[in-house]
Amino acid sequence: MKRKMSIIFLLVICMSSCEKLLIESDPSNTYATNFELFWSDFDQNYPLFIVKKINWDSTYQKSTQEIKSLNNDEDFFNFLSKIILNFEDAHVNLRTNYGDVRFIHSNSVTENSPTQIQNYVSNLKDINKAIDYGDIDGTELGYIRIKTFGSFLPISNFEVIDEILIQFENKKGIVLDIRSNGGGSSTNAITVSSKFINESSCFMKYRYRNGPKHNDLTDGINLSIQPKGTVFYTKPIAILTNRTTVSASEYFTQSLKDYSHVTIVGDTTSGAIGIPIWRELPIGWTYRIPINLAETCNGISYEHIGIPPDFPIWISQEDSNNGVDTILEKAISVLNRDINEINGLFFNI
Amino acid sequence: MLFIFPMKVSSQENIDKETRPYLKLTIGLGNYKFKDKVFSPLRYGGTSVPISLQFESNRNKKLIHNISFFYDNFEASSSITRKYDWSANYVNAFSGELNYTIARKVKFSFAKWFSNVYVGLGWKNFLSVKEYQITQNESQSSKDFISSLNIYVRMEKKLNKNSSLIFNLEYAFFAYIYGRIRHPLDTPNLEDVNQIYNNISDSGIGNKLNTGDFLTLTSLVQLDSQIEYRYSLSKRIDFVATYHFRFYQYQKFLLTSVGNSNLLTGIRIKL
Repeated sequence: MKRKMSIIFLLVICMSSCEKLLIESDPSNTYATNFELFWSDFDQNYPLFIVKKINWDSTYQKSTQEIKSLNNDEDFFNFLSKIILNFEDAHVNLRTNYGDVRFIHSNSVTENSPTQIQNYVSNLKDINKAIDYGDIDGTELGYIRIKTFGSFLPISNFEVIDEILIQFENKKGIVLDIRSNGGGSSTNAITVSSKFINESSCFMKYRYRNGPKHNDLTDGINLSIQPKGTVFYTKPIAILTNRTTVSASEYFTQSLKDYSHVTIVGDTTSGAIGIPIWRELPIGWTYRIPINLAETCNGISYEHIGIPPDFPIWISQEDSNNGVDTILEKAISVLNRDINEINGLFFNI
Repeated sequence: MLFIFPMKVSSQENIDKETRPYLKLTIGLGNYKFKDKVFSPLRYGGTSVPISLQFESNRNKKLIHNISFFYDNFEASSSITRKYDWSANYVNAFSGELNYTIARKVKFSFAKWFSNVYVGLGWKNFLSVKEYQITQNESQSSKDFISSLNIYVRMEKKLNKNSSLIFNLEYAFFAYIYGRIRHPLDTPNLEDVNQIYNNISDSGIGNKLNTGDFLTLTSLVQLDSQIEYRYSLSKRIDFVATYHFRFYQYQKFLLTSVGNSNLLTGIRIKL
């Protein structure tokens, strides 16, 4: 009996390390290994090479030489940062103890950010971390600003749009201001945009890498938007965008762009539309990589270049200093034109 | 279902000599090691306190029905967890499993050492959710949901009047998996693949289940094995000590491997 029990005991001890044997151990934490993992991940999985002007093989050749001369972690951080920024992609980031690295598209002339909205909007209510709304002075238009679609916020922050639309029932048009909205959850974005349509439609396709070549991509997977809930608003809408309208806010823009009652006013968006995920390197730093390429249902990709507005307009530095929001003014005139066209009146903008 | 096993039924008695159903409750310590290359090339590990509840019926001594539930949660760390003040790099995880097996007593010539051998099928539903805590309050969730049909083998050995050993082995041959990110050519025409890395509450479970696909022996490794020592304390109660090992591995965009050992003790009550 004792012998049998000893065998069982030994068997259990041996088997208790099975999981360790079956799962491969960690790669070494050298600069070369970290770079190799980083480079290979992008080489095999990054879906946007076809819209970027990056010679990834050449990057590898140059880097393998350069990496030999790195002396410390800070050198390696600077080395990786250069590569990250070269993507010109807001979804390719690096987070380290030396700081965060993220490329943000910008308009070199003017930011086109919403400033001094109170000059145009009265009864402005800041109802949660995501949404403000109010009445545009001297008009029958409503104003809704969505500052973020952050995934850290509960979806209830976005479902309040129902209550706002009930209050805006008699408004003849709405301005949706998503300028400088840095994105977040696509689900939050769709929760809002599904309230501004009354019929479903394909608005985007996702394509994934499916092979070793940089242009090995799957066919598009259609994304559709459907009206949700009981409250909808389908009168004229103007969406305000700028170069820092990024990610989920571009997803939001794209989901409404092709509806006839929707007009986009402002500057081109950032051009980082697909879904990114975080990855870890053995050195402990994390980086982000997009896993899909977003296209319109007609096969046009606004990745990298950004979604163009129907009415491109910038706020000059002088106007910005004087509290003049020419993008909002343009949106008001566009909406008034649409309202008058609906009413059978001619209106020249 | 068991017609696929045309083996001769053994004339040996079930070691329990009882035909009433049993309820088994065990608790213990578990050890995890896993590597989810979708998130990290590093191996993570942690310790859990698993709990298992099992109902077993062997009313006619030839056919065993078994329903079991297993749950645990744990925090896992890697070689770089909290290495830097600014970073977190750890994982909060839980897993749950609901398993049904049906097995028929058979006689194998090579298995004479065992008092009884059963062969059958299992249906296992397994869910694992891992929340990767990254830097600066950033987190990212990863889910594995596997519903599998398994080959099930059970071997019993009576050691003496009061004690016995039971070996259980299950291996998946066909599974439905939700949670893969379709990297290779198997991308389906589905709409909410993008939900995979959003919070679990972001979309309805119905949508989530629609985004799964089927894997077979060639694309999935899922193994579940147990060695159980049973000692009779009274006519109705047995003491049980179990070593339980689980392992699964499949391509979820990149390779995901999870291994888990558990040492469990508890009681088995005749109902």
